[in-house]
This record gives sequence, structure tokens and C-alpha cells, in this order.
Amino acid sequence: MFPRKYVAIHWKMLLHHKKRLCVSVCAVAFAVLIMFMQLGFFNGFNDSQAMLASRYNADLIVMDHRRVHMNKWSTITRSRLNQVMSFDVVEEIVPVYQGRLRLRNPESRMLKAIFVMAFPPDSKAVALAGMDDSAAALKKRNTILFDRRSRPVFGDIREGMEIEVGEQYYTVAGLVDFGPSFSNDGNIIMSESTWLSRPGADAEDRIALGLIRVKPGTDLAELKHRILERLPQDILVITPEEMRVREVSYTTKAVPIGIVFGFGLVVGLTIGIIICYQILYNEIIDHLPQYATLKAIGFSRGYLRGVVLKEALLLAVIGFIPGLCGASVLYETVRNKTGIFMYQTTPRVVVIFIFTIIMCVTAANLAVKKVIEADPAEVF
Amino acid sequence: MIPMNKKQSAAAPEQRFASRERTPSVDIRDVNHYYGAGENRKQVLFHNNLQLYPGEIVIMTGPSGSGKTTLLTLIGALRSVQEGNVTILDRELKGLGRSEQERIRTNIGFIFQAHNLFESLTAHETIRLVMQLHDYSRSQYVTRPAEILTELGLADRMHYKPENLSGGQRQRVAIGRALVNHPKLILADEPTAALDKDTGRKVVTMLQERAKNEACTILIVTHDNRILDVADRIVNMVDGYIVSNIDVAESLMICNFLKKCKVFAKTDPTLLADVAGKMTIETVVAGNDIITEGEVGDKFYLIRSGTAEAYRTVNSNVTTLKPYVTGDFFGELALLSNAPRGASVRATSETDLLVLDKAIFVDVVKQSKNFEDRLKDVFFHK
Repeated sequence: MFPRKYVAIHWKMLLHHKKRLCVSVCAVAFAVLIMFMQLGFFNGFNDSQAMLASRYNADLIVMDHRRVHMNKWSTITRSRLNQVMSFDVVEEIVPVYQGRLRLRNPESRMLKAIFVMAFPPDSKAVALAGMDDSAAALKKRNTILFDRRSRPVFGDIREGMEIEVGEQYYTVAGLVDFGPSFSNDGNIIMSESTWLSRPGADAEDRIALGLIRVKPGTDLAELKHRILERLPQDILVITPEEMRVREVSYTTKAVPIGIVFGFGLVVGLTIGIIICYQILYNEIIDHLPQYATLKAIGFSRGYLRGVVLKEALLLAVIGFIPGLCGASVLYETVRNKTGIFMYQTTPRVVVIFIFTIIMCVTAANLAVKKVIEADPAEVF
Repeated sequence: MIPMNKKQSAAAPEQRFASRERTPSVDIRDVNHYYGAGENRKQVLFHNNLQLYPGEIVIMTGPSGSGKTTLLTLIGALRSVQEGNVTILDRELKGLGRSEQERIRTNIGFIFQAHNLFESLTAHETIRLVMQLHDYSRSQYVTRPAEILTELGLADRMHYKPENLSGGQRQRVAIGRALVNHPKLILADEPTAALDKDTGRKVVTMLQERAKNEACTILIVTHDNRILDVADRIVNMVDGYIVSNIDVAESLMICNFLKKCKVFAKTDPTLLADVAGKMTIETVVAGNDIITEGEVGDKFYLIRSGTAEAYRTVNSNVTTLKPYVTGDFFGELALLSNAPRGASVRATSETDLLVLDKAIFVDVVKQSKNFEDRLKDVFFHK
């Protein structure tokens, strides 16, 4: 603005003690990192759970009404799908089977439950990277697709390997990018026929979800209403988006773990405020005679408040950058180690940035009281 | 020192002839100040009266704890006035809010004993920062600090931070900070304490130039007697009282007048200066009586300017006895002998009189050596 006119005292003060600035920036960065991690876990938890919902290739999904969240395994009978199919606007309905089977780690021979999803190979039931290419491979009996982001506990499983799942050997026909969630350590995809021929298969052919695809121009709300009216009361019809929202709200509100990370975020913010307060407070205490002198000379309390506030904002911005970088490294590490979805999307970065600003401004407002109360008469 | 009733403060300078027509830039009237509250409440200033005029350099002295600093902070709008009135540059300070106090302070130049410079700012920046309190053109923000620092002998240190400046140089930066906005009032607390003799002199000369050229009032609290010579007035405080307030030039003149008076001929200069400080001014118009024959004498008079004459009235016949002109004195006889006035004195033109109360007069005389001798001497010469 006026580089030669006004003295940017806040800037000069921050830059003067390089060592102290480093420590302060590190402290702010650390607070930013804590918040990023909490938000990352919080979102990662939601993302992993809700991710699947948004991947279903469907206009509407029909399922058992007791299935309030995706880790409840209530199923519906095939006849419900036929009933839905009888609506003339319904073009297609894809059955999706879900369950958990035990996979034997090829190296350690340990058994561990894994999430299995099955559907007709040509149905394009889920949108996954590489899925369309691999789907054809599923047509062969007893082949599966393995989620390459499954947790390492299942062992190093590669394409072409024979692996034991639920007391039956399957060939790994390909790898897909799916990702585990907090409740599922890994995923397997197989064809409908492979699923139905597995040892101990459900004799009644019970189905987890029916993916409804409608003719273009169909009023989904109206269709949903008609389905619910005509079919027995044991089903639920929702859109994939509604399902995603339902999952998020279930994991954030009903499951303690969502609340835990929500609290974590607040705690991170609080710690950040305390750290920032401490930094600014020390800075102010060291310069109290100078501030009092400025006050005595006639600088208003507003001006001094501005100096401290600007210092805090600068600190927030300078500290945010390494915090952001540190967080992306940690996110990457967490993603690789646990497969949990942790990504720095723009809205999330903006949220944490706003939190950082709130953190520093709150701290500044607390610390500046010392300056406001400084008695200029003490200078003489 | 003349023992004096503490309730009775020194001659108020607004009564001094020289400053009578001007508006004081600092006007302190009957100010009392207290610290603490309730049982711990302690009075630190008692009935302070002080007027400082534009162009004056006033040096305030007194032992530590005498209230100098408190008075200075009241004048500087750094404390709220509790009792009495303080008017600074035509603004009454009593009852002002903090924001108004802040605004008033921007018009005062402060030189603190602890200069408290920001270690992160260079000398040039320090001064520029203070300029922000007022409006300047962009180029002035560069040239003004440079000018003032050059004036203070810091041309080659302009872009140095305090850590690379000596104590004296830092103090000069602080002085530059106080002067840059050309305030009409400068309050300085020991401005020369950290400076060597030559630099101290340079700074004081600079202040003196400011006072004279810009009609700026400068109040300096100091114990440094090397700079006493610049003072137009010396104010002395003891235990919260202003015990003396001496207009140096005026006092010098009065002392010279007093020395001619036999009573004070051998009085030592300290006592004489004290007497000068205790004298008050009275103005009498032409034709009016100053002393009336036969009355009990209670005052000693010295003519500061104007003319008067002594006369006696016998059977309605007025006999003129003696004319008085500037520097002449009268009225001491009745005070020394406790007799009624032997003659009347009236002003023959508008006359300014310096007046000394009997109690003080007698005290001084008693303190002078060989009182009896001098008394006789006086009788003899009358």
C-alpha cells in the first residue's frame, strides 16, 4: 500500500527475532497440523463409509428398512426386486450382494474378515477406477477383483494369485481402487454367479441392495412414493445421495468415533489458541514498555490492538503454510498405511485456514488485554 | 530556606508582570492528587498551582518522591485529574475519556528517561512511526526523519537499530521522536542523563531553539545542573508542594533591587532568591494610596515599575516627602519597629509593586547576621 509511508511495525517485530519467529511458526504449524489431522480422520471416517454410497450406479436404491447404516447386514428377498421391476418406468434393477467372508493371508495363513460385494459383471453396479476393464474378467467362475488398497493384514495379494476366501479358492483377476473404511479392512468384488456358488451360499438368494435404474425423465420422488405404497413395508427406497448423507450423519452423530474426532478438532483449535496466546503474550510482555511508550506518545488503543492483531494474522498465515505441507505428508502416510481416505480438498483447506485465523485472532484478543491495560503513566 | 507555611504556595507566576497578557500553555490550578484508595489513600500533590507560557523552558527539580513525576504525568494527560484543573494547550483535561486523552497526547512531545525504542525499528523508522500520528506527505515521511536525525548528529546512524546505537545515540533518537511533530509542549524527564557534556549541551540548545523559534513550552524534570542555565523558570517541589517557582530573569532583577536595600545587603544569595520567589505583584493606579499613615504596617514594597511618592498630611496640608522610582523600596521601617506607618505612600503613575508579607520579611531579617547592627544602620540612614 504505502511502503515508504507507514512503518509496518507488526511485520518488523515478528521478523526481528528470527529464532523466536521460527519457534512461533513451528508452534502455529503444529496446531494447524493437529487440526488437519483431526479433520482428516473425521472426514476420512465419513468418506470411507459414505464413499461406497456415492459410487453406486443407480437412480434409486431399494434395501431392507432395518438397514439404517451400511454395516447392518439386513437383506431383502429377490421377489422385492421383481416387484419393483413391474413398474413401467423402471428400466433395470441390479441385485447387489454384500457380506463378509474370511480371507486367508497367503503368507501368514491368518484368517481375517473382508468385505465382499457381488453383482452381475455387466451391470456397472459401482463406479470404480479400472472397474470397467476388469469386469469382463469376472465372468469366469471363481474369479475375483481384489482391492489393492486393502490393509496389509491380508498379505501381498497380486493379480493372478489364488487366494482362499471363505474356504474356497479364487483367482485374482484384477486389482481395483476401493479403499478400506473404519469397519472394513479390505474389499473383494465378485460376480453374482460366483457369489451364489460359494460354499454355504444363501439358499434363498437374499439380496443386500437393488440398484434401480429408471427411464429418462422419470420423477424419482413420485416413483419412490409409488414403490413404497405398493410394496410391503419391509423396504426402504432412497437415492445414492440420500444414502451418503445418511451414512455421514449416522457416523458423525450416532457413532462415538465421529464425535470423538469432532471433539478432537475442537481440542486442536483450543490447543492452537493456547499456543498462539502464549506466543503473543510473551511477545507483548517483552515489549510492554515499548507499547506503553507508544500509548504515552498518543497512539490509540485501537492502533495497538491492530498491531497485535496484524501480528497474529501474519503468524497465522506464515504458520499455516508449513502446517498444510506437514499435513499433506501425514495424510499421504496415513493413506498408505491405513488406506483411510484423507485428502486435502479445497473446502477442507479453507475450513482449516479459517480455523487458523480464528485461533490466532482469538489468541490476539486475549493477549492484547495486557497492552490495553498497560499504564502509559508508568513510562515516566 | 525560609520556613514557610505549606498551605501557602509560592507566588503564582501569572501574577508576574511579564507573562500577564499571554495565555499559558499549561495551566494548573489547585491540583491535589491521591494514590490508592480507602485507608491506603495517600495524597501526593497538595494545592499545586503552576502556569507555563509559550516559549518558556521550565526546569522542575526536587527530591525523588516529591511528586514531580506525578505532576508531569498529569500535564501529559497520562493520568486523570482528580482534584483541581489542568488546562493544556487550551484543553481542560479534567473529566476527559481515555480516547480524548490519547488525542491530546499526540500534540505533546514526550522525552522519557527510559526511551523504550522498539529494537526492531531503525532510527529512521522509529521517527517515521511517530509521524503517523499526524498527516504528512509521502515525501516528508522520508525527508523529515532524515533532517531531524542529522540535526541530532545521527546522520550516519539513520538506518541503525537500537542494538547498534550507544546509550546517548538512543536517547537522541528518542528526542528526535519527541520533536518530529513540532509539538507546542514538550515534557522531558532527565533528557540529558544518558548524554555526555557536549551532546547534552547540543540537545539542550536544540530544545532552546525550539522554545524560542516555535513558541514551544518545554518542561524538563532534571537533576542535571549543567543545563540549569537554559531555564526561564525553575520550579522546585518538595513533598507534593511546589515550594518555589522562580522566574529566573525576573528573580535576578528583583534580587538586584533587593540588594540595594540595607536590610538585605548582606543576605546571602540563596536567601535572597528565596525572598524574590516569595514576592507577589500588586498593581496600583495613579493617585491611590499604597500605604496610609498611622496604620499598622504588614507589608514591604518594592517598585517593579512606575513611580510613587511618600507624603504626610498635617492639618490638611499635604507635604511630599520623597519620590520613589523603579527599584526603590519602602515600608520596611514599620515592619522592623512594629510602629505604625510614619507616612503615606501613593502611586503617581500606574505602578507595579512587588510585595513581601511581614512574616516572611521578619523571618529573613532575623536569619540575617548581626541583626541589631543592621537595624541600627537602617535607623541611622533614614
